[in-house]
Amino acid sequence: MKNKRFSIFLRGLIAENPVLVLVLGTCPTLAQTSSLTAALGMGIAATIVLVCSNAVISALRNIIPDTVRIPCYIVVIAGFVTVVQLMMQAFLPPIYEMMGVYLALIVVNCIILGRAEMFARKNGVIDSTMDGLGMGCGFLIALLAMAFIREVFGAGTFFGMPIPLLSEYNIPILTMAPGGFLVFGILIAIMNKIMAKQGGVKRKSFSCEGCPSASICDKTACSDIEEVQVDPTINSSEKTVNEEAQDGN
Amino acid sequence: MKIDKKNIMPVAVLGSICIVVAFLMGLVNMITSPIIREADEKAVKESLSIVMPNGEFNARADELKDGAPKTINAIYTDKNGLGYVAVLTTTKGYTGKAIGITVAFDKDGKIIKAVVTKNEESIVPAELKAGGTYGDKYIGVNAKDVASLVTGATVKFTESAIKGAINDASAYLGFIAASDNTNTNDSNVKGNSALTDSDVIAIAGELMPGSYEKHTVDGMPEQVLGVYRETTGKGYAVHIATRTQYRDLETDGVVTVNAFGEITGVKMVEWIVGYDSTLLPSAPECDEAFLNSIKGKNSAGLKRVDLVTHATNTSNNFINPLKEAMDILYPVPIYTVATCSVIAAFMLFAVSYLIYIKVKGGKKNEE
Repeated sequence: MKNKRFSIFLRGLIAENPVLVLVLGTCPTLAQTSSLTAALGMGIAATIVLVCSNAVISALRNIIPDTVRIPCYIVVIAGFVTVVQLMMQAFLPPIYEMMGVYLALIVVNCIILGRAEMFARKNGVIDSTMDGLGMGCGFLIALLAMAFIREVFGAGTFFGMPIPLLSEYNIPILTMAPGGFLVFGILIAIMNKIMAKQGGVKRKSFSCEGCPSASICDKTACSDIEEVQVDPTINSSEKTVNEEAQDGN
Repeated sequence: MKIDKKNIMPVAVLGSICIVVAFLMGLVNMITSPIIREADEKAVKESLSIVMPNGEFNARADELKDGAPKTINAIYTDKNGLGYVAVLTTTKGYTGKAIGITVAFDKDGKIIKAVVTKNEESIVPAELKAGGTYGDKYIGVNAKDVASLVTGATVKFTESAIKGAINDASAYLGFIAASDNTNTNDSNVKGNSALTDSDVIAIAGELMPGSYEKHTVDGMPEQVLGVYRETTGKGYAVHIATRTQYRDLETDGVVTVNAFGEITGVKMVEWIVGYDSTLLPSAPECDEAFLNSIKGKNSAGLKRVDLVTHATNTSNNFINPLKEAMDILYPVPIYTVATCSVIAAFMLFAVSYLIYIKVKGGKKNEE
């Protein structure tokens, strides 16, 4: 059991990294990675919201009716975001100012609602908490990786402190939007290469449900790992992966 | 709708979750709001301490009354009755870029201190830079005496803009009467011109060759010093001279207009005055691009003229009376208005009828 929970946590870090593998939450990723401080603030805030919302939604999964589950999730997530916002404004005003509107936008971050829908409503409280923690840490790691490249080589600073030589010969485009997209694309490419060596870019257990490219994917890139059984009583109107594949054939 | 458990449950669950979340947020707000308020008040106090070091202010600025001048960003009232601090921004300087000023008044209207907090103009002497010593000249000056403070020739427009903004704050706070506010009362009035009638006729002859005679027209704005009609019916020449009442922005020029109401030529003999050409290496003459942009325009087209970058007020002051004069000289014939109205009404009727026919035809097909 402990190993299973630990593996749930580890999945979110690399194998199912929300930013670099699932390609979720790209808006705050691009917006808040021009500096390491902002990336750290955003990552920690998102992790706290993710953990708390996953735990609460998992605890209430048997109570919340299917017809109102999305509004309930949004209310819970928005509540936690507001709490984080007020806490930051009171105790960390410089970071609050730096994050600006993107702190409130955590409410509509795909990662949080996506994990609530995909994991928390189907699994226990502790498993969901570990999943939230893993996904949040994976988000944080991805943000810090991007921010490191963009700030160190783009601005020549490290957490605002100038780096000798690099601060004079920096690449300003990396701190701008085009540079952000470039770094993002390169990191995704590196991640795909690492995952390919491990036997497949995505696993079927989560890919078709959570993959944004599911409708156009021919599934040749997926590895042959046994699928996790999905509870047929949840979303019975939605087809499972096998049924979709059979219809295609 | 049948009321049963299946319908009530979702509403009850969602409502309960909303209540619990609202309660949680209220609890957190109760804990954090005093800390946030204290931090905001401290930030405000720090920013205003440059002009009123002993002041105590609320985190939020006072609510501004309707009709408050646009130069006033915020007014803070000291909690202990020491006076007021006004945070101002004006764009009436030389280039039209923002100039920020923070000024503190005591309760009797005497200025405690004024500081330039921002100056985006292109020519900025050291004293007028943000945080410079310019504001020292206002220390101890009564609000009603601000207008009479002498301005330097080199930075006349910047200083006039700053004085004007301070006057706005003084008038708003009641230290001076609204009628004494030179900023809002810096209206565009009739200017002075050294040109005689024969000078104007000579200039008109250069712009649009012909023979001109002075023509009296009722209702012309005071800035139009004379209208001269071309005797063969080619058009008119209009002599305009303007001046702003307090800032001495002057214009003086002759414009020729053809029989169709289109401007054929412009010559300016006076444009911007009051600056020191040693400080401004290239004295901005009347912009050629501006003059060319006026040519060919009629009265309606003048609304879309791009005003001169460094002389927004001046060019505006010249264009407005010119437009008024052209409206008087070339009124839109009433029959044109009537004809256009009839045509528009007819087209509207035709389109409505066509839509009606199409909808009716669609309904018949369905049946």
